[in-house]
Amino acid sequence: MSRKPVTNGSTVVRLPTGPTTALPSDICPVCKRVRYLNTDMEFLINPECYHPMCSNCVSNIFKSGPAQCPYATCTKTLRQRGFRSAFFGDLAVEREVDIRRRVAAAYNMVEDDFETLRDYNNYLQDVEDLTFDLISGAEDERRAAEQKLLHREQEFRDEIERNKRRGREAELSRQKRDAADAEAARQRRLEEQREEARARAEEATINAEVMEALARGEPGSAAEIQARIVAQNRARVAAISGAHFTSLLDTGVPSGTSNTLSIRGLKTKKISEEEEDLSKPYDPFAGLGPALEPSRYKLHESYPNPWLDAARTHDDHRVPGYSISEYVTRAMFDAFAGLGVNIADEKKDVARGPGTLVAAEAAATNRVSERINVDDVFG
Amino acid sequence: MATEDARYRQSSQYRLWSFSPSHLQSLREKTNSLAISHISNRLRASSPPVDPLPDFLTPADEALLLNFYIVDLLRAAQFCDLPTEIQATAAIFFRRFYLTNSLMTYPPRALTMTCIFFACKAEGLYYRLQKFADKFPGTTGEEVLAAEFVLCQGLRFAFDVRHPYRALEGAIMELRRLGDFDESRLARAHQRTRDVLKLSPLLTDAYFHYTPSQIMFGALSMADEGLLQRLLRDAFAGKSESAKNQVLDVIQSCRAMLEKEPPERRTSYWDGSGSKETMKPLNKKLRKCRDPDRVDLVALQKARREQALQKAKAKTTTREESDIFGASNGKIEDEEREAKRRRVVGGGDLLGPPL
Repeated sequence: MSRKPVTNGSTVVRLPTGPTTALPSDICPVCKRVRYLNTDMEFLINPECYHPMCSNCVSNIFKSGPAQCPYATCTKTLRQRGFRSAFFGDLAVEREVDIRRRVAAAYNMVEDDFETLRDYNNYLQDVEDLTFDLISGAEDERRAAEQKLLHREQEFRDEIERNKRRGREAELSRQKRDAADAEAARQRRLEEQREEARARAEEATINAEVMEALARGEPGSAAEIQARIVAQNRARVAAISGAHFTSLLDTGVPSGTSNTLSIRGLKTKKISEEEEDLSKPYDPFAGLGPALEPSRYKLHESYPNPWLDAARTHDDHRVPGYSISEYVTRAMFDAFAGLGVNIADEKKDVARGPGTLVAAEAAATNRVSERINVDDVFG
Repeated sequence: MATEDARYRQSSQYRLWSFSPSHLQSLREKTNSLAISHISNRLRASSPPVDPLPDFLTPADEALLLNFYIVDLLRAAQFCDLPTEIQATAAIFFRRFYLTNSLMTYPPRALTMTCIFFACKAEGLYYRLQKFADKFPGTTGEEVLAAEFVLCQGLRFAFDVRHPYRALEGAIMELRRLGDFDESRLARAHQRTRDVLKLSPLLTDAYFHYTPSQIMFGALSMADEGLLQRLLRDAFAGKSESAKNQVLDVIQSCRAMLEKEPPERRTSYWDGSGSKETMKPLNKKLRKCRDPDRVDLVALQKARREQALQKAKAKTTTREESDIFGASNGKIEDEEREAKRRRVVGGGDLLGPPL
């Protein structure tokens, strides 16, 4: 081997240098064979260096053991075992996905592992930074990130394994829960069908009774007879529809499993104050809400007002979105706003704006300076 | 403190256009005396000078005339089929404008048209200018627009007028919900209160001295005292008796003010039978003591535009010292003042021969 391997200890490789990172479609870059003549040609890559070559080349070069990558300037030693077909046409994407998969496997903590949401977000940010360095950082950044990743993979092997197991368990329980939900829904549907059948049968018996009564020639008109029998049987029908949900509860899935599953995640967390602010829903009035509540009246859901009936029922008003509650709010506010404002008292010693101050001065001195214009109240 | 009051105190109606009675009185007197001194200056400076100065209007005369013109304005607004709120807005604009300006300074007839047209704008009702001018024979669109900016200035650019009409609807809805009174009584009170609100507060100073809700309750108490008591009982439940009595006092004084111009006078106002005799001499007096510079607002407007154009050219060469202080706004104002001063001194030659 004439080319010397560069030993930089890096296992995450750079992309093949070249104008494009796309998988070749027709010509093998190594042996220059053309697909036209070899219709079953397949291109393989090795995640060591992501240089594509056809399957023929792979078996020719690497059958007899590890060899150097046939690409010029590439110093990687490859094995046949490492070759696979690329999932993505763009090898840059292929590589990024590989790297992300590896990083995600190493950094597999979940939100529950952290005390605050902020810590978790910081962790995610750090992981993403590391990933970015690996994918498209400069040479030294990549090397540093690589070191960190290796360190993590080696030193925290136990923890990673534990997290993985836990993740698998969570996934399993989620599947179980989904299955239980689906089962419950199925039961519910069945129960509904059964209820419907029962109700229909009940109605049929009532109808039959009515017909029978008519045939017997009971006193009263047909409508009266029908009304009477229906009234007698109403209680029974009501009992059926009322039993609808209780019977469902009886026949549903054993509630024990779903209960224990659904409370998962209710872990009590220590929440800092800032965190608490962020977790609250957004308040457009910034806490002013209670101060805007009316104090002299209570706003009710609806007020009887014949004038508003048209707005309530006619499409001309409803379709463009006329809001009656908006009007009512405003009308009620107007009715009581400023009721306690005593203008005569409050404005007793209020100095007016500059315009009238000058005017007042002029009036006091009884001499009109030329700076005053009657039509300019701001002057 | 009730939140509703705090919110009302934010409005421009409270901040800029609410006065205590004595303050309002002194404001009117000041406006009147200022106008008289200005106009007498101008009359003396005109050529030929008006030597025996005419008899000027007193504040009391102005108040009488103001109501006369507001009735006029309401009739015109009704003729245009404008909604009640816009009619009221126009009337209040007129009233507010003539608080800081005298009837002698700006011709009220022109301002009537401008107020109605501008109230449509302020309330968001589109009225085409040409259509509006055509409604009143002898009025051109130019005349309607001439005083518009002056009006805005006089209103201190506060175009929001809070009316008691929607408040009345709210009160009636609340009463209906309570269900203590039968429908016919409510309907009667509703109708009567509406009639009061359409006329009385516009012809008195109620909008300056009371809040819309107080005006509404005052009118309601004119119609049916029992309804008022019922509403106040709920509104002040759990509060001290004195607070309620205070409010009641204010409402009573408001009612007393509204009763000075009861809605029954509407008919006599509308056919002009009651007011014609008293107004004739006053109008005659007004015609004599008008501000000579501001009789023709259209010409004034034109002259101002031309001046502004000339100013734009000359601006760079003159007045560098005022540029230091930056505000171009202030500069324009200064120059406008300067121009007006020259006009007063130079006998209005900028406006051409005196009219």
